[in-house]
Amino acid sequence: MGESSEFKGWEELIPDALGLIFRNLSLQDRLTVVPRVCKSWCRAVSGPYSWQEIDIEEWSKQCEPDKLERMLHLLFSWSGRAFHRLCVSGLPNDSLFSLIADHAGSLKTLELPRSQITDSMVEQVAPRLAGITFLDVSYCTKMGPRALEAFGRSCRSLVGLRRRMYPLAVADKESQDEEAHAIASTMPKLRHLETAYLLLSTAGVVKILSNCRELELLDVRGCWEVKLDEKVVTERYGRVKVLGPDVVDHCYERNLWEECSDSESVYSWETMDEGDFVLDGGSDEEDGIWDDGDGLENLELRFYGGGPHADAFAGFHWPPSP
Amino acid sequence: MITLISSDKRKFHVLEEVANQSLTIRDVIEDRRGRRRADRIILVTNINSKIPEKVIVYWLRHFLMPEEIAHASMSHKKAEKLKKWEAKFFDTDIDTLNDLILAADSLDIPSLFDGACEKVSDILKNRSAEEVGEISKIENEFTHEEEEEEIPSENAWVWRNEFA
Repeated sequence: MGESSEFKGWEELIPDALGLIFRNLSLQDRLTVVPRVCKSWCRAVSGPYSWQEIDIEEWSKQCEPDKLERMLHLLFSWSGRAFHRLCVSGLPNDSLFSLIADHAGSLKTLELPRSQITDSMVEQVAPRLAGITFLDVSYCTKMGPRALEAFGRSCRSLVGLRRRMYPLAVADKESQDEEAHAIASTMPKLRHLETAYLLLSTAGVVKILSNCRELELLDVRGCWEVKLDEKVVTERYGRVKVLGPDVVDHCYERNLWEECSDSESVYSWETMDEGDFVLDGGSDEEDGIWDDGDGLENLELRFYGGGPHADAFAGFHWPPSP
Repeated sequence: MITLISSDKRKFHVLEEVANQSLTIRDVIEDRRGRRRADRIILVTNINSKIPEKVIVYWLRHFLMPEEIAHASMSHKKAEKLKKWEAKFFDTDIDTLNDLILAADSLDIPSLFDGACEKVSDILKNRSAEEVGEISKIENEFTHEEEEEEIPSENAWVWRNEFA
């Protein structure tokens, strides 16, 4: 530990700070490096603060199904149902989807692109996912309108939906307009909807526009059948921004998805060069402010009080180690 | 004017509007409103003058645009400038970052807390456990057997294929 009495070592840092630090490390660092640094870090990295967001999308793209299952079990046991975002690519089967739902107590953002989940399983499981507000079921080709409807009926606060498709994956399909109807009839609160390359018709999209009155962004790029008159859209559905159907590279100026799904916040500022401030750290204490005891004691702010460091952990209960 | 007093008894005079970025201080000021001079003094114990100084620098930099920060509506240029400044601000030794994190936590300054934690992550990224221990001056309390057997094997399966 440091020489100064003020400095508490890194192993004793408050758990939410450690959690945040670990969160920014790669999955590999978190699982194989951090636990070996010291026992308290090992405890911290296997606790809920480090796993409020579980993003294993990159890793899951190239892992075998049994490993994915093992990983989910491990991370769920560490997170203790505290995670509010889960991002996994390519769930291989329905049973893992059910496992996710069993641990989804705090879940707000669920991203399951390329997953093999089916309509009937979604119908069973969706009621347990009632709290989610953002859902990504892009490239999930085994599910269709029934699943979307089940999500819509259960997740009443859903404001964001991603349902993109690969052009080739829909080549053999006639129409996916039923999905548009499911969205329009069960997800009235949507503000952000992406359906790139989904086989929608103009009627389907118009139905969405008329039912989802809070829509701010609609991405129908690659939905070639959709013909919208820009003027009419502006007149009738004023606030919504429609992208497509032409495919152009477009960065959302103000990406609601990013904004609302707990990604890092953005800070800004006014131009102000360093040195424009005056630090008055003078030692002119003759007026006795220091002794002006009246009311001072209650104003005292303790940075990390004098108590044993264990205080910092008071109130946090780590889940049992797996 | 608010006066912050560090453990080495240095005084820092800060405009109330600036210090308000600390939610803790804002609450204290709110509680004490209407009192006499003593109300304006906030004692910050257990922390040497280096940290309040840095915190105030941070406040001043962020002071002018609180609404833009809240609504993420700043221009690209400004955002870039802020980023650069912040990179410089957090470019400090790891012990200072530790103190900043604790200060940001107890004074409740979320953006400072996040920024300092992020910088620490950057420092620790892609290193071995031994290097991390060295940087953060943490002594490894694992016994040799624990080290050899339990820890590495516990999670190594995750990457066995790709990183063998």
